[in-house]
Amino acid sequence: MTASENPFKAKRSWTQFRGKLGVGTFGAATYFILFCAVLIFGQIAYKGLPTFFKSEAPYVNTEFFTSNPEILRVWHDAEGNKFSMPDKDFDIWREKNPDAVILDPHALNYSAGGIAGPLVGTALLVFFCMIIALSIGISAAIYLSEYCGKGRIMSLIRLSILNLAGVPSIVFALFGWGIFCHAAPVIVDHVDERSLFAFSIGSSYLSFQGWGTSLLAGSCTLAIMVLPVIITACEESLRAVPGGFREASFALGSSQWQTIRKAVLPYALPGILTATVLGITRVAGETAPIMLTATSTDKTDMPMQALQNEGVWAFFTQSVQALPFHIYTLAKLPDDPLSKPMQNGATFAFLLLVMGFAFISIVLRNRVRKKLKW
Amino acid sequence: MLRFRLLYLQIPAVPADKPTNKPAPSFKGKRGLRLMGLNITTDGVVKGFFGGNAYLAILALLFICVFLLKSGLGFVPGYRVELSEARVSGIELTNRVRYELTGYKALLARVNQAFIAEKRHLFSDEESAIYLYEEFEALIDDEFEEDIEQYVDLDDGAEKEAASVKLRADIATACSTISEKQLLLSLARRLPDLKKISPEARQQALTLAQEYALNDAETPDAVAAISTRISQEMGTFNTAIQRIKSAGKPLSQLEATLTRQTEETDRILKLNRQTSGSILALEEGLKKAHKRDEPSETITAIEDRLKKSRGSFIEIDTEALIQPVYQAIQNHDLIVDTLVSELAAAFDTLPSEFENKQVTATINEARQLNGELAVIIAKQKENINAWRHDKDVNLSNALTAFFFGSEWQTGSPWQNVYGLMPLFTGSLLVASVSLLFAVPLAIGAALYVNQFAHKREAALIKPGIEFIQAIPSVVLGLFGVLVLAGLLKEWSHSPLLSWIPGFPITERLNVLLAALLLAFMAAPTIFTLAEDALNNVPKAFTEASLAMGATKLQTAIKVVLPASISGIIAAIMLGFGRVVGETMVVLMVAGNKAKIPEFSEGLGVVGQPVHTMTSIIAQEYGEVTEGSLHWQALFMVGLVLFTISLVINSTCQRVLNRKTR
Amino acid sequence: MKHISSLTAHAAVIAGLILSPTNLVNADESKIDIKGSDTLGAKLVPQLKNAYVKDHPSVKIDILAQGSSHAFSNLDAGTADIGMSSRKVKQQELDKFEAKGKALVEHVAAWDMIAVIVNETNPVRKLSLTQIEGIFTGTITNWSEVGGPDATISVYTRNTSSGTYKSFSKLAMSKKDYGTNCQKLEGNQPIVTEVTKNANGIGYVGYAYAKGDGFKTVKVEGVSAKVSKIAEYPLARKLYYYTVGEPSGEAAKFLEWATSSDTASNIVAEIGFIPTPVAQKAMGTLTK
Repeated sequence: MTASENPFKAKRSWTQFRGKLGVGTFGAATYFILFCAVLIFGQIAYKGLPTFFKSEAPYVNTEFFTSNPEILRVWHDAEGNKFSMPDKDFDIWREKNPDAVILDPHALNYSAGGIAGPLVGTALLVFFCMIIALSIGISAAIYLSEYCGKGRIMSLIRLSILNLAGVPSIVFALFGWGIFCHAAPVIVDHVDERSLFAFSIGSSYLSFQGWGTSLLAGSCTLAIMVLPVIITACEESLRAVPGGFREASFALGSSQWQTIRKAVLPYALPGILTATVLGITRVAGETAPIMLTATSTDKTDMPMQALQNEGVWAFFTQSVQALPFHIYTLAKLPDDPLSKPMQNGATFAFLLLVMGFAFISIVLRNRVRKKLKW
Repeated sequence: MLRFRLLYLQIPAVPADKPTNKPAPSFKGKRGLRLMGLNITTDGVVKGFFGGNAYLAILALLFICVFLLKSGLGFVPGYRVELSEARVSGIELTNRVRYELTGYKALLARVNQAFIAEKRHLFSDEESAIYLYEEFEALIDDEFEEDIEQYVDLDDGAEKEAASVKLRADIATACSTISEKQLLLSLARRLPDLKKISPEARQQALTLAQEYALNDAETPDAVAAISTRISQEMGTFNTAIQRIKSAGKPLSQLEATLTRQTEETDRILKLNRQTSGSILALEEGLKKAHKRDEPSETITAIEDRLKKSRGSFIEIDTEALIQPVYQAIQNHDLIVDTLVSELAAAFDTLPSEFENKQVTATINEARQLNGELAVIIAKQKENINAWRHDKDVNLSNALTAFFFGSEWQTGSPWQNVYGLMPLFTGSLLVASVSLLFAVPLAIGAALYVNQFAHKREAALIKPGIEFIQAIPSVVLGLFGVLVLAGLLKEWSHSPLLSWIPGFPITERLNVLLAALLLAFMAAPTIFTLAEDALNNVPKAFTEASLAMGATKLQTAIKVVLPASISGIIAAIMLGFGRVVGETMVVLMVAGNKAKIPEFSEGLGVVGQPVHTMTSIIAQEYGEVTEGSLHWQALFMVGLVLFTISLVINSTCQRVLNRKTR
Repeated sequence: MKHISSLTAHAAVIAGLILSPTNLVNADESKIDIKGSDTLGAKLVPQLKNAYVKDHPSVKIDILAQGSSHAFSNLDAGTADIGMSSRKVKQQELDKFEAKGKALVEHVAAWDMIAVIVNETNPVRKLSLTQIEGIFTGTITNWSEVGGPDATISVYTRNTSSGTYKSFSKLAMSKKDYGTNCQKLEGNQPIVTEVTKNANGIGYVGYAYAKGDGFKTVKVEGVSAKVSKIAEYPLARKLYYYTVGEPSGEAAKFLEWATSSDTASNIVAEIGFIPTPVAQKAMGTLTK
C-alpha cells in the first residue's frame, strides 16, 4: 500500500458504494416515471400532430378546429385509384363528375371534418361548471377563512370538504345522473310521467322530473365534483394573506366585509386564479360524469344555435358533444387507416388542452408561492 | 393577462390604492335594515351568504349520502322481493339443479378434450384429410358458388355429365393452387405433431370436396363416416365417453322440465308486480287530475290506460303451479345417485395411463372434477330436499346475496343476479397490483427529490411529475387499447420474460395492463403527498444523523423515512382511493369479465381480465329505467365505492392529524 | 346592499333559468332525439341523418348510441323520440309499457346478420348452433372440442345493454345465460379488434363489421353469412326503430323516409346492412 497524499481522501467502502447504488435506484425511479410520461406524450403527439397541419398554405388545418365531425366517403374507380373526401365535398364532386365510376363505396363516420362541436361542448361544460363552482367555492372559502373560528362544526365542514375531494368521479356521476337528470325541478305546462312529484304554481307546474341529459346537468355535476378543490385552494390562498393586512384594515375602522373586499381578496386573487385553473384542469379531463349526464354521440347543431333559435332554457337543457366522450366514441371506430387522423388528432388536441391548463396552473402556483412571501 | 400582471405589481403597495377618494370611515355603527325585529346589517347578510355557501359543501356531502342511501337501500327490499319471486316460482330450485349440471358439463368437457386429443394423436392422417376437406370446401364456396348453382339447375343428361367433368377439373386446379406450406401452417395449429401432409390425405380431401360441389354443396356423408369410424376404433375410450354422455341425460331433462315449469310463473309474477305498481300510480294520477280539474281528454286518457293496465293483470295460483315442480324434483335423488354411480363406473373402465401424456393429465383432471361433483351433488341433494317454495326470504338473505354473491348477471332472459363479489375482487385486484408498481416508484422518486436531488433538479422534476396527474384518463385508456395492450402481449411471449408470473398472457385486455396504466395515474398522487410528508420531517433529525456519520442513504432510509411513515402510509392509501375510483381506464382496458378472478393460479391471476365496480356503472347505467331494481343495484355499487373512499379519506385525515399534533 | 346583489346575481340567474316556464320535453317540434343501439347508431343512423338533413335543413337530429336497452329506458322516460334497437322488444320491457297503458310501435329499419368471427389463423371454419351455444354459455371451453387447436377459448361478447347481446342469446343460445368467462366489450369494433389480435378469440358482430383483415367469419350450421343466404342463415335478424304510439311530426316523416326511400336503402346497403326490400325479396325467392 502506497502512502496516500491526502489522508482525507474518501475511501471506497462498501457502504459508500451502497449509498451510491441506493441513490441511483431512487433517481432511476424518478426518471422512469418522467420517461414514461414523455414516451406517452411523445407517442400521442407524434401521431396527432400531422392532423393539425396540412401540406398547402396556410399549413394549419383550421378545418379541424372549426368544423363538426363528418362522414368520410371512400371509394375507388375502375383503375383502382382510391378516393376519399368528406361528405359535403362529395356531393359537389358528384355534380361535377356525374359520369365518374364509383366502386366499393363506403363511409366512415366521424372521420372527416373536425372537432369543433365537441370542443365547444367541452368549453361550455367547463365554463358553466366553473361559474357555479367558483361562486359557491369562493364564498365558502371566504367564510371558512375569514368568518368562522375553530369549532366542532367548522372541523366537520372541513372534514366533509376533504372527504368530498376523495370521492370517485363515477360516484359524482351517478349522483348527478340521479339528481340533475332525473329529479331536478323544472317548470312545465304538463307534468311528465317520470316526475317524482309536482305542485302547481299558477297556470303551470313545478315538477321534479329532471333536466335530462343536458348541459346544465353536466355542468352542475362537474361543479359539485370540483367544489372541494376550489374551496381548499381558495381557502389556502386567503389564509396566505398576512393577518396584519386585516388588522390594519380593522384599525382604520372598516367593517369585516370591507376588510375582506379591500384588504384580503385583492391579494388572494392570484391564488384564487390558480385554484380556478386547477379546477379547470380537473374538470376538463373528466369523462365519466359527462358521459352519464351531458353528452350525445352525434348532434346536428352547434350548441349556440339552440340559444338563437329556441331560447335560454333550451340552450341549457340540450345535450352537447364533449371532447373526452368524442374520443371514447372514436376509440370504437373501425380500424381503418383513414379514421386514424381524426382519432389521433382529437386525442392530441384534448391532451394539449388539458395539459395546457395544467401547465398554466403549475406556473401560476409557483409564481404565487414565490411572490406571496410577506 | 395584463391585468393579472398588474395585480402582482400592486401587491406591495397596499394602502396606496386610492384610499383618499373614500370618506374616512366613521366609528359609528351603521344601522342596518330592520326587518321582523331583526337588525339586518350588510355584514350580517354577507356573513350569512358566505356561511350558507360553506354549509352547502357539507350539505352536498350529506345530500350525496342521503341520495345514494335512498336510491341504493331500496335495492335490498326490492331484491328480496325478486328473490322471493324466484323462490315461489321455483327458479331458485332450478338454479340448484343447474349448478349440478354445470359441474357435470365441466367434467364432460374435460373428458371430451382428452378424447379428442387421443383421437388426433392416433389418427392424424384422417384428421388432416378432414381438415383439408374443410379448407377446400371454403375455397369452393368462395369461388364456385355460381358454377355449382348452374350445374345443379341442369337437367340430367350428357350436358350435365360434361359440366360435372369440367367442375371437377376446375376444383382440382383451384385446390392445387393452395401451397402445401400454407395448408400446413394452420393445420399445425390443430395437429401440432403433424410435420407434413400425406398425398393420400390430400387426394381424399380433394375427392370429398368435389363430391361436395357436385352434390349441391351438401357435406358428403363420407366426412361424417370417417369421424364415426375413428370414434368406433377408439374402443374402450369411446364406450366410456358414450356412457358419461348418456349418464347426464336424465339430469339435463330434469333441468329442462324445471325451466319450462318455472319460467312462465316467474314472468307473470314480475308482470303483475309491475302492473300493480302502475295501477297504483295511475289511480293516484287520476285522483290528482280530478282535483286539478284537468280537461276531460286527459282524464279519459288516464282512465283508458288504467283500464288497459288492469286488463294486463293475470290472476295466477302459485300454489298450484309449483306442484308439478315438486313432482319433478321427487326423482332428483334417484337421478343424481345413478349419475354418480354411472360416472364412477365409466371412469373405472378408463386406463390410468395413456400413451399421450397430455391425455393422461386431462383425464386425471376429469377424475378430480368427478370427485368434486360427487361432493357438490351430496350437498345439493340436501339443499334441494330441504327446499320449500313458501319459506320466507328475509332482508339479510338479500343483503348476503348482494355482498357475497359470486355472479353479476344482468339483461338475462332467465334471472338477473346482482352479486358484488366479482366486481369487488376485480376492483381490489387491479388497485393492489397497480400500487405494487406505483408505490416503489413514487416513494423512490419522493425520496430522491426530497433528499438527494439538487435544488434546481427538484424544481424541474416536481412540476413534471405533477403534470402527469393531469393526463385525462380517457387518453390513457385509448393509449392502453391502441398501443400498450399490443406491446404487452408481444413482450409477454418473449422467452426472456417468461419468468414473470402470468406470462405469456393470452388476453390483450387484462389486470396487468389496467394496473400499469393506473399505476401511472397513482404515482403522481403518491409522490406529491409522500414528498410533503418527507418535507415535514424536522431538519434536526437529518442533521443529527449525518453528524453521527451516517451516509445520506442511511439517513434517508433509516431516519427520514420512519419519521414520516404515517404521512407516507396516508399517501399510499389516498393513491389506492384514487385507483379504486378510476373509471375510464378500467372500462377500456380491464377486459370486463364479471367473474371472480381465479386466485388459484397464484400470481398468474394478473393475466386475467376482470370487471370492476366503476366500470359496471359506466357500462350499465344506460339500460336501466329510473327506480328499477337494476338502477338501485348500480346505486348500491356506487354506495360501496363511496363508503370505501370515505373510510380511506377519514382514516388518512386521522393519521395525518395525529402526526401534526 | 349593492355588493350583495352583485354577488347573488349569479344565483338569481340560475334560479331564473330553473324556474323559467318552458316545456322541457320536445320543446321543439323539428328536433328528433334518437337513442339506443350501437349497431344502428354507430354507422347507419348518423349517415341517414346526414342525408336527411341535407334535404330538410330545418330538422335537427341528435343521436346517442350506447345499446338497445337505452332505447326502451329513454322511450319510457320520454327522453327520446325514436328508439333504435337491434333486437325485438323484450316481453319484460313491453310489459313495462303495457303496465303504464302505453303502446310501443315497431318499424323495421333493416335486416342484419350476426356474424360469428374467429381469428384468421384458427382452423375452425364452421360451427353448429349447439357448439356456439356451448361456447358462449361456457360449457365448451377448449377449441379442440369444436375441431380447433388445443387451446382455451377467449369469448368476446357485447355488453348487456346491447341488442346484439340479447338477439344472439335468443338466436344462438336458446335464451340461455352467457357464461361467466365472457368479456363484455363496448361496441362491435372492440370485438373485431380483440379477435384479430387473439388467435384463440371468438366473438360476434353485425354484418357491417364482418369484413376485414385478420379475422374470418365461420359458417353457422353450414351457411355462411351472405346477403343471398339471408333466408337460411340462422342468425339473421331485423333491426328496429321504436316509437311510443304512432309517430307524428318530423319523427314520422324521418321514419317514413328512412324505412322506405331509395336513398335510405342505398345508404343501408352501403353500410353493410340489408335493406328491407332486398331482404324480403331474398326471403320470397326461398319460400317460392
